[in-house]
Amino acid sequence: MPINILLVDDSKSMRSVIKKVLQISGFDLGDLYEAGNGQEALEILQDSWVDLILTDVHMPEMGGIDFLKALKADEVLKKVPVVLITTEGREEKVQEAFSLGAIGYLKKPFTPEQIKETLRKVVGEEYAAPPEEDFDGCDF
Amino acid sequence: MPLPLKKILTDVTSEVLETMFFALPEPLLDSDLQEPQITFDIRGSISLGGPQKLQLNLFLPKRMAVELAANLLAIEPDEVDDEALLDTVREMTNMIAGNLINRIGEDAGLEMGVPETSFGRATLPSSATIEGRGVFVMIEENLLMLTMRQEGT
Repeated sequence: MPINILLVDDSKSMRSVIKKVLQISGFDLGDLYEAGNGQEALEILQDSWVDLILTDVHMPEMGGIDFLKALKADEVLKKVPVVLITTEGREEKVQEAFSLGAIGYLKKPFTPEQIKETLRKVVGEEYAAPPEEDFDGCDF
Repeated sequence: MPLPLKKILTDVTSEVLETMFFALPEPLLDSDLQEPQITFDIRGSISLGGPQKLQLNLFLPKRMAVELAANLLAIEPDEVDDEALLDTVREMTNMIAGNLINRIGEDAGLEMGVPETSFGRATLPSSATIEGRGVFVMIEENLLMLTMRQEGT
């Protein structure tokens, strides 16, 4: 089953990096939406359903924590899993994110493998791409 | 800059450059700086807040920024435009500041601001840097300088 993802980050470069990792992650990707801050993300969510949100924390206009609060205040959107991507990894910040309803936390700098591992943990195997056909042992 | 802080800033910078930008940074001691003048083209800065109202600044030559942006975005250097260049330096500033705060922030009461970047050529005599105010990291032939100062000074 394809997974629709909303990527929220004010850095176009970071969105591009994460997008590339997602595309090679082995997950069955559906629609990939992008927003530059929490406000833009909320506008996208008015018309589109996503299965997962990956959001930066420090952003202009509406940062990741306020965006998370807005999502959790909405009866429908509060069900969408949210993973925060941020440079701040202090325990108090992590706990604040989890207490607000985030289900994952990815600290920058990250490796592609760490993104994949976080995705596996938060969405499970449900969205894993079907394995490539294995021709080993076939007679041609 | 106090020596323990220089060490932490050097370590954090190296970690960010290696992990996100696939660079091989080589930290330099002040005494290793040989050039009479050092030229930079791009500056990144971010407020770290705290009682002393600290600000972290990064200075780097365009050549280095282009290479780092190309590495980050997995594109060729000639595909890197000015927008991507500034965005990359902004993100690098953000990551270095965030990880610095992770290491020292709890005790120092630091809080990150919003990073800013700009083009602007600056030439510093290396003697100005030997006073121990900065951290220097060499990547290939290019020099990255990081300084901390009180905002408004």
